[in-house]
Parts: sequence; structure tokens; C-alpha cells
Amino acid sequence: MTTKKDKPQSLGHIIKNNWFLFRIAVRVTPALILLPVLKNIIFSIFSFLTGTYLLRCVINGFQDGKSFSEMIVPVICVCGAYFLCSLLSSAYDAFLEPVQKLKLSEHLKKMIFAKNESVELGCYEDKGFYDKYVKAANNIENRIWGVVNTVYNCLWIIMSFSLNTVFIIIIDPWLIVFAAIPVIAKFTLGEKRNKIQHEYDMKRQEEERQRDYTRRTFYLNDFAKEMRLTNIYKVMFARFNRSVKNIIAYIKEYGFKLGAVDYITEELYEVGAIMGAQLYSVYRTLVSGTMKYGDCLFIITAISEVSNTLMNGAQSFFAFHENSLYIDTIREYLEYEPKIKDGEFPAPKSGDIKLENVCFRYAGQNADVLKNVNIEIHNGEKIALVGHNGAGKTTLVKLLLRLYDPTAGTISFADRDIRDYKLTGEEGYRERFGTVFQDFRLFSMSVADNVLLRRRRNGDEAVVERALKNSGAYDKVMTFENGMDTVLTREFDDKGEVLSGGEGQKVAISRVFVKESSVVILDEPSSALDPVAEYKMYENMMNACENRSVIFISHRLSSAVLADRIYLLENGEVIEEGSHHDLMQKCGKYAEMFTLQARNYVADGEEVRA
Amino acid sequence: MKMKKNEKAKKTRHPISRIIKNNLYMLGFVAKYTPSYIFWTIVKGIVLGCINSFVGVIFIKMLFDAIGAKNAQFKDAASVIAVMAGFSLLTFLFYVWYGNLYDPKIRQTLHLKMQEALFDKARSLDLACYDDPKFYNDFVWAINESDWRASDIMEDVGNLIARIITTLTVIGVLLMIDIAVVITILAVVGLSAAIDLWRKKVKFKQNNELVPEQRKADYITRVYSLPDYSKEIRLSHAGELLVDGYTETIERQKSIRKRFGFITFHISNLINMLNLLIFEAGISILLIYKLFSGDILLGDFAAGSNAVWQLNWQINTLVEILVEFPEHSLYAEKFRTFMEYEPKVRSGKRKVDEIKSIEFKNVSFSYPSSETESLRNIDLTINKGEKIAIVGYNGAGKTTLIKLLLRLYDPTEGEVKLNGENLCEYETESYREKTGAVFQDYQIFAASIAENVAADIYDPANKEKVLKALHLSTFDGKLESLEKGIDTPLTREFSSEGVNLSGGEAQKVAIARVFYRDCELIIMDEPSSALDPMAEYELNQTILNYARDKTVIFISHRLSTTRMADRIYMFAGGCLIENGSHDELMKMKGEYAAMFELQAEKYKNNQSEF
Repeated sequence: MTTKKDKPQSLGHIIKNNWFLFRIAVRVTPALILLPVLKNIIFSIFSFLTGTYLLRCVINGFQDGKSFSEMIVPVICVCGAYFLCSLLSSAYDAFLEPVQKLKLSEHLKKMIFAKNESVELGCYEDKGFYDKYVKAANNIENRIWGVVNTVYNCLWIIMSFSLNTVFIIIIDPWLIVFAAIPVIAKFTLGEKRNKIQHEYDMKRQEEERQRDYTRRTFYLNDFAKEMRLTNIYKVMFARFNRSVKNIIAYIKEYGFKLGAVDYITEELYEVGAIMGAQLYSVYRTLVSGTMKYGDCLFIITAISEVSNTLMNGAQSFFAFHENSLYIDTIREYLEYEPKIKDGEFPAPKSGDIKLENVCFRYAGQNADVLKNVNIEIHNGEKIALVGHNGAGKTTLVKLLLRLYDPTAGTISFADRDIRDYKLTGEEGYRERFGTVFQDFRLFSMSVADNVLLRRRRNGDEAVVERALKNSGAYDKVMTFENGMDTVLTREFDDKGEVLSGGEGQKVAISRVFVKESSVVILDEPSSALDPVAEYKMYENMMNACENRSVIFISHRLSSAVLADRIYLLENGEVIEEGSHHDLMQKCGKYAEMFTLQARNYVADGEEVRA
Repeated sequence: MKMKKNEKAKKTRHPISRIIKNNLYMLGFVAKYTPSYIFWTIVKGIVLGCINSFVGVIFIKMLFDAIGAKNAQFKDAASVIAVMAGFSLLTFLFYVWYGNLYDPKIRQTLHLKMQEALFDKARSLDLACYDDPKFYNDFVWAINESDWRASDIMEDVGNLIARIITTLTVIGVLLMIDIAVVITILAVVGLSAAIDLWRKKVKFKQNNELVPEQRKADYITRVYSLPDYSKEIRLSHAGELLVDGYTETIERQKSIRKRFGFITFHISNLINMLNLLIFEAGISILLIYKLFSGDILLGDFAAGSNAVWQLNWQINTLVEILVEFPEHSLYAEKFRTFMEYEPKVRSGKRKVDEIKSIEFKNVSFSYPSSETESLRNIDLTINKGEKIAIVGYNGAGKTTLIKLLLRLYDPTEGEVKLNGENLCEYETESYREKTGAVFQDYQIFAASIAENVAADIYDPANKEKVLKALHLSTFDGKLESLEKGIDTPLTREFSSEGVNLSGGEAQKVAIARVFYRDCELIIMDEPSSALDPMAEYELNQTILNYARDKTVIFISHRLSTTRMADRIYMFAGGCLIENGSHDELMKMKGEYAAMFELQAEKYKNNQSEF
């Protein structure tokens, strides 16, 4: 995906992009989108009639000596028709629009949900990609309304412009010159103004971002202790002060430039166009006597209308252009082919896992996170992955789950490359795994739903109960008023329960117990648990997973002892493997780490203090 | 969030006197910090009011009076236009200056000055305020929004002045033309204001029902678009549950919208009827009738047609501005609560020369929001030079104890004594200077390494001190790899050359703060949690070597780290249950011994194997 923002967009491209979103909206809710088209056309005509045209007729009629009854009939007719149309319009506003809008929103959201779910994890973990594409696409609804409203706006402008212009030309074609003055100025100065504005916005935004950061340090809980206990607040305030001073300097510099341009365009419009046309009309009315009073009044209003609509027309074009830039990213995201592709084979219920020469490197980085990793996990084995922070343990787990595919080498499950299996669904590969990550998340749903993470079936209650008991969360959950049907978090239920870190972790671990997967993966699941809770959790885990493979990552080597085999990773490589007993006898890195951790528990206190 | 605020804003209406008082309170700050802002806003209001009444109404009348006069002269009409042009050139010059230069600049100045006051206030705020979610939300609001709110009030005041001036002048012009028109207009305006109020009530009722549903929909959308949840969504069927939830809430929103369809339809018809049939059509016909019957002149007719429209618009917007003030009032009140908050932890007068001993005497503490006590009847004494460990399970009250020790909170009962005197007698600043703490959730600030270590404005004269502190915390290795050394900016917040440290590296910088300050009391709140065993061991050694003559308090639930302490305090459920040296506690065979055995078990058994 390349950046297109810098390239100028061709007119065709802009139209195609805007049409792309407009078409989606029309297809989903044709009445919602198309009725306002009609409405805009009709109401722009009424606005012309009541705003300027009728006035002209009346005054001209008055000058020509016509009677009141002659003049009043068309006025009443127009007002009546206007009122009838407003009735229809409010019917649309009251009955059709609110519900149809929801329908469109639902369609778009679900489309994006599905897309978000289908793209690989890498799209979310790569901050550049995420910020640019995922965020943009999730804003599709606003973008569509941006396009649709610009279309309506354009329609109105075209109608109002052509009606007024036609009558101005009928009265006196020369008057168009006056309307053109500010428009030409707007176009010539407009580009310069946009450039200045853009530069200004860029500089200002950067400074504002920095200013907001320093402000956050003064109120966020995270910083509260340090801000009170040290003088770092002086540093932060100095930064804040500097940012605001810089912003003021930008305002002085750019505010002046922008103000000058605005002043010239505005006065060309007010004095040059409107008052020029007035003077000309007054001249024709009074001196040459070739214009009627009504026409003169009409010109005064119509000229400003024409100038205004032309200038707005230019804005609309910019709006289409701006929309188009965003639509590019939305389209690219919607058309993005997930790199993790579905295979065709159903995944067997269980099997051995084998990693052969697996290498992995995150996109955009220049070093491998995993190098030539070879691991074999037989069905039912208990495996521990240990190693320092950043050794590649979590990445390895992500590869196993096919959240990423290896850069080189293969991973196989039951003797078939995992890329050949279906990914999700009943027969999917991922269905064979139950995983708890260190940064697990709880959803704002009931405890039971949080444990099951699927639609409920009959008899699930017992399943959830057992799982909660196994993870040690049951007693806590039962203290809630609604037991396992209690909603977690206060996101939108003020009676929701907020769990502590350790309790939350227990609920997350329960997920593994309800899933009938053949492999269980635990990525430091015990970090927030105290030693007793950790001990019980592991005991239960080993009992409950007698026939299942368990792969767990832990800092605390005391738990690695439980594993059939331990893999020690360092800088992306497996440097030692074997059972605890084997590794201890080997007297290598693992033995060193273990002894170090064990030392304080077994050795004499005095020795340690030295 | 915004919706929620509005909803709240409408629920609790203030009486008018309170609204005025609150708005004036805010304006008081503007007057104090930027008095010229008040003056120029009033001038702007007057200028704007003049523009609206002159351009649309008075000039038109003058022009057509000149045109329609019995022996109309081009010269007269032309001079009217010349006056108009001069007026436009002058007023707009002011307007551009105000809008592009003065207003943005003065807003920033006000921002700077108000933030300065707010920051001071924020820093003096008790940490307990962070635990009260309602107060905290208001506090975040105050710091983020209050000065912009003050500017908004200023803007509304300016616009209000403008509207009032225009309304009065336009009514004046209309009174000259016809009194019946003025009465009709005022009647219609009054009626439509009443209907509008009704409409707002209905809308409010509808929103009350919609808001909870919209929050649900927003939550689900957020879950789908945030990286945090992306793993769970891919690895479980949580997506099904979320989409089901989304469909449900959209359906509910649709039915709410449908239910309110009829009443909104009727209301908008009523408004249309008033506006179109009575206001626009009725008054136009009246004016036409008067023109034809010779009651009014051409200039009156032209000005009258414009004035009707202008007046309608002015009064409508006047009402819109007025309804802003009750909302301003609600926010001003938040600001007021915040500014008038008296911190409970107040600094004493005595300077701290030396920390000889710290004593807890029968200390109990409960968090403001909670009913149970976090600490109960704690008695303990810490003498200079002692190495103390505080151990216990999660939630035992360890961190609370530290917060009391640092006087981030004051005890609910009992007292904390420093050198035999109540800690409250001492100056907080000078006490905190003598203490250094590394918290579990330490923060790195977007500032240079040197500033982060000094936690103050960095004076290059202290370079050696900074380097020594970094050396002690074993940061040298990383420091050598940085080109700019200790001047390297941390985080990318301010500079693209900024460096993001890994968890372990950041921790070392945080620990260096303690070494830099050369304090007498060092507190380590589980500082080794992010470190692997090797680094943890090194850190413990460094701290012990450095702090031979200092008082050190370690907090941990890993007992291996704490056994070298002179004295260990074991906490459970907010109570101090055991204390003594490691050996003494082991002999006691109490809770500590049990916890230690449990943690040591795996290491012992398996080490003896080889």
C-alpha cells in the first residue's frame, strides 16, 4: 500500500472515489439517500421564489399600476404549495430518516466488523498501518455522510445558481461580470490561502499535541505520584509554557497573512460585486430609466446569491477532493487481502505440533525475532517456554495460533502444514486452541459470556461453573448478586462489577477450561496472582488438562518444573531444551537461572547478603 | 461521552440566579487574567450588531427611499451606496483583525494563565481525589476544558450583545413601518419558542431512551476497532456475541425512533405552519396590501420584507444562545468545585532535618469510596538505617501503607510519627525531599534522560551526579549506545529523535532517580516485577550496596527478594500479622513460613535432585 496523499488526484479519480461511497449508501437505503435529492431540488426552487422572485414581481406590478388582487393570487399559490411540500418533508424527517439511518449504520458497521475480524493481527499491531487504515475505515459512516451531504449541497448550489443567473441574464447580461469578480478572486487567492492555512494547521497541531501531552501529566492518575513527590512538574510546566508561546507566535504570523487574504476577498465581494451591481442597477433605474424598481431589488439580492453559491461551489469541490483522499484509504482497507489465508482442510481434533526451522521477522523491522526454531510437541505433552523478556516467547505463541505466518520454515499440526487448514469455524485450526494471553481482555458482558465467548447452549451453566471452580474464580463470582449472569465492567451498566487484576485473570483462565480444545496455551497467566493462587491454578490446570497439550510461558521457573519438556529461548533462538532434570544436569543457562531464583529460598541467608 | 454529559446537563437545571452567578464566576477569571478580552468582546458585539442591522435593513430602506422618492436623484442613491461601502470596509477590517489575530491570541494567553493556576491546584490535590471517580472526572474536565469554556462564554456574551442590538434596531425600523407587523411577529416568535421548548422536551425524552443503547453500540464498535481486543476476537467466538448484541441494540433504537415518529411529525408541522403560513405568507401579504393601498412607501416595503426575515432569524438565534448559559453554568460549577477544593493533606511548618525514626501508632485507614478498612490498627517502628521488607498477598494493604508513609494520604485513625512528632506537623515538601520512591507503576516523562533522573529542571553542573546515578542503576550499557548521552530525549512525544526505552531500561532510569536524590529513606514498591531473575538479583545487590547507611523499605510478594531484610512485616487483610527477621519468622511457623515454604517448595525439591 503506497501513500497517495502527496500525489494530486485526477478529477476522474475523485469522482470515482466519491461515487464508490455514494453507491454503497444508495444500495443499502435508496429512499434515505434519494428522496433528499428531490427535496433539495424542490426546496431550492421555493427558496428562489419566496426569497427573491416574488418580491420582484410584486414591486414591478406595483410600478406598472396593477391591482392588489392580481398580485396576491400567485403569492398565495406559492405559499400553499410550499407548505404542502414541507408536510411531506417533515414526514420524511419523522418516519423514514431516523430508522433508515440506523439501517445504514448497521450495515456499515457490520461490514467493517467483518473486515476487522478477517484481517490479520499484524494490521492491528503495526501502528502505522493501524493508524492509517483501520482507524480510517472505522470512520466510514461519517465519511459517507460527508459525501452524501456534499452531493446535496452541490445540488442546491447548482439549482440556486442557475435560477438566479438565468434571471439576471434576462434582466441584464452585463451584471454577471459583477458576480464573477469575487469568484475569480476566490479561485486565484484561494489556493494561496489553502497553502498558508495548511502550513499553519500543521505547525499548530504539532505544537498543540505537545502542549496536550504536558497537560495530561498534570491530571492523569499514572503521573500523580511522581508529580507530587518530585520537581518534575517544573520541567513539564516549562514545556507547556514554551508550546503556548510558540502557538501564539504562529497565530501572529499566520493570522496576519490569512486575515489579509480574507479581507481582500471579502471586500471584493461586498464592495466590488454587490455594491458595484447596486450602483449599476441604480444608474439604469434612475438615470437611463431602463430598469424597473423590482428588477433593481432583485439584482441586489440575486447578485449576492450567485457570488455566494459560486464560492460555496468551490468549497464543495474541495470537499469532494478531501473526501477522496480518505476514501482512498478506506477502499484500500476494504480491498485489502488478508495475508493469513484460509486453507481447505478441516483440522483434526488433536495431533502433534512441529516447528521446523521457523524464522520470523515483523514487517518493517530489520532483525529476526525468531531464528531457526525447531520444536516438537506431542499430543498431551506439557511444555514450558522460558527465557528473558524479548526472547521471542510470545511471538512464538502468535505463530502457533496462526496470528502470523512464519517468514521461513513451517509449522505443522498432525503432519500437515497449518496453512492448509481452515482457520476458523467448527473445523478450524484455531478452534483446537484455548489461549490466555498476558494482556487478556474482559468484555462488558456477563461473567458466563466472558468465560464461554460464544453463544450459549443448553447445559452451559454447569460447564461455566466447573471452569470457574477450576480457575479459582467461583467463590468471588458467587458473591455477586446475579452470580455468573452479572455483567462485568461499568461500561454501560452501573450495577456492573469491576474485577481486580487477579480476579480478572482467573476469569480469563476459566475460558481455557470451557473450550474443548486439544491444546492449551498460557502466556504468563499467573503474573497478577499471588503465590498461593498461582500454585492452586497450576495444580488445577495440570489435573484438568491431563489429555491435552499445555504450552505455558512463565518467568517463575518454579512452575517450569511441572513441564515434560522445557525450551529456553534467547534472542529468538532455542538454546536449551529438555526436562527440568536434564537441563539441571547440563549446568547451562537454565541451571544458572534456576539456581539464582532458588538461591534465596534454599541457601543460607548470610551468604546472600554478602 | 458527549451525549452523556448533555443528558446530565439537562437533568439538573439551575435556577436563573445561580446560572448568572456561575457564569459571572467564570468571567471573573477572564477579567482577572485578560481584562482586555472583556473590552474587545463587547466592542465586537456592538460592531456585529451594527453590521446585521445596517446591511440587511437600514441601508435597504435608505437606498429604496432614495430610489423611490418623487424626484429621485442618482447622486443621492449613489452616496447611500458609498456610505455602505465605507461602512463595509471599516467594520470588516475590525472583524478580520478580531477573528484572525486578536481572538485566537487572547484565547491562548487566557489558556496559559488559567492552566498555570489549574496545574498548581491539581498538584496540591489529595491523591484521594483520584479515587473518587466523580470528582476525578470533574477534575479532568476542569483542567481540559474550563478555559475553553470561559472563551465560549465570552463568545456567547459577544453574540448576545450583537443579537440584542440587531433585534432592537430592526424592531425600531419595523415600528416606523407598521405596528401590527411588529405585534404579529412577537406573537409568532413567542408561540414558536413555546413549541420549541416542547420539542426539546420530547427530544430529551427520546434521548434518554436512546443514550444507553447508543453507548452499547459505541462500545461494541470500539471493541472491534481497538487493537487491545483483536486477539480475543480472532481466537474465540466473542465476535458472534458482539454482533448479536449490536443487532439487538440497533433494533431497540429503531423501535424507539418509530415510537417518537408521530409526535415529532406533529410538532414540526406546527412549527412549519407558524413559520410558513403566518410568518412568511401572512406578513408578506400584509405588507403587499399596505404597499398597494399606499400606506407605506417602496423603501419601507423593501426594508420591511428583509426585516421580517432578519428579525425571525435574530430572535431564533438569540434563544439558541440563551440556552447555552445554563449549560455553561453546570460546567462553571465543576470548575468552581475544583478551584475551591481544600486539600485535606496540609503541609505543616517544621522542616525535616533528618529521618531518625518513623512510627505508626494504631493507624487505620479506609479509602473514601470504600466501606472496609484497608489498614487496621497498625503499630510499627522503622529506625534509621534499617532494611525493612513488607510482604503479603495482593490487597493486604502494602501499597496503602507506603502511601501513608509518603503522606499521600493521612490516616483515618491513629497517627504516623516522624522522629516522635506527628508527621502532619512537618513541611510536606521538605519531608518528601528526603525520601525517594520507585513505584510499581513508575512513569517516564517526555523529557531528556537527565531531566528524568533529576526529576527537576536540569542544571548541567549536576552532570556528574546524573551519570553516577545512572551508573548505580546499571544503565551505563544503554547510555553508551545513545549518541546524545544523558541529553537524549525520552519518548517520541516531542521529538522524532526521542528514544523509547524497553520496560527494563525504563525501570533503571526510574531507579536512578532515587540514587540521584541521595535521600535518607528509600522505598521500593515491587521494583523488580518487570525484571528477569538475573536483573532482579543484580538490582537487589546494587540497592543494598548503595544504601548501607540508609533506610530502605522493600515491598514484594516474592519472598526470595525480601529475606535479607533486617525485619520483615507480614500483612494480611489490612492487618500486621507477623513481624521479625526471616529466621525468627521461619521458626514461628506461622503464615510467613507457610508462604515461604510454598514458594520455595518447587525450587528445593528440584534442586536437590541434582
